[in-house]
Amino acid sequence: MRESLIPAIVLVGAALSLIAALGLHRFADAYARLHAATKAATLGLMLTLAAAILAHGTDGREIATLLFVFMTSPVGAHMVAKAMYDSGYRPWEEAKPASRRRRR
Amino acid sequence: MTATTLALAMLVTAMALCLARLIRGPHLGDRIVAGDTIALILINLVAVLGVRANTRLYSDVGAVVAILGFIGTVAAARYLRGRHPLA
Repeated sequence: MRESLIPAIVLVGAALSLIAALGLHRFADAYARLHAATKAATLGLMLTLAAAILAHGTDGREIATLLFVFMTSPVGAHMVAKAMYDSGYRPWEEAKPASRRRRR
Repeated sequence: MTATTLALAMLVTAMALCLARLIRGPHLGDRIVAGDTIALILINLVAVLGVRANTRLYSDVGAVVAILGFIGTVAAARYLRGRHPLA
C-alpha cells in the first residue's frame, strides 16, 4: 500500500510543479503568472515533502520546511503583487467588443 | 524506481520554463516571481532526490533553500516597491 502510494504522490507533486511553470510561461500578465505559479507550486511542494516523510520518516526538518513554505509563500506573493501595483504596473485587460466599449 | 525519474524530468522541464521567464520577463515582477518559483521547484527536486536515494540527508538543503528563497523574494519586492513610480 505505502510502496504504491509514494510514487503516486511524487508524480502528482511534480506534475503540479510542471503545471505551475507552464502557467508562469503562458499567462498574459505578471499578476496572472503570480497567481499560477505560487499556489500550484506550493501544493506540489507540500505533496512531494509528504511523500518524502512517508518514504523515509522525518526528524522534524521536512515538517519544518513544509510549514515554513506553507506560511511564507502567500506572504511573498502578496508582497510582490503589492510592490508591482504600487510601482504603477496595471493589470492586463482583455480587448472588449465595440458595443461594450462604447457604453463606458 | 522509474516514477522518481519521471518526476525529475518534469521538474527539470518546469525549471527550464521558469528560467525562460526569468530571462524574458518584461517586467521586474515577472523575474521576481520566476525566481521564487525556481526556489520552490529546487526544494521539490531535492525532496524527490531524497525519496530516490532513500535518505534523510538532503532535508537540510530543502530547509535552507526555503529560507533563502523567501528572504530573496522579500528583498526583491522591497526593491521593486522603492523604485521610480513608472518603472
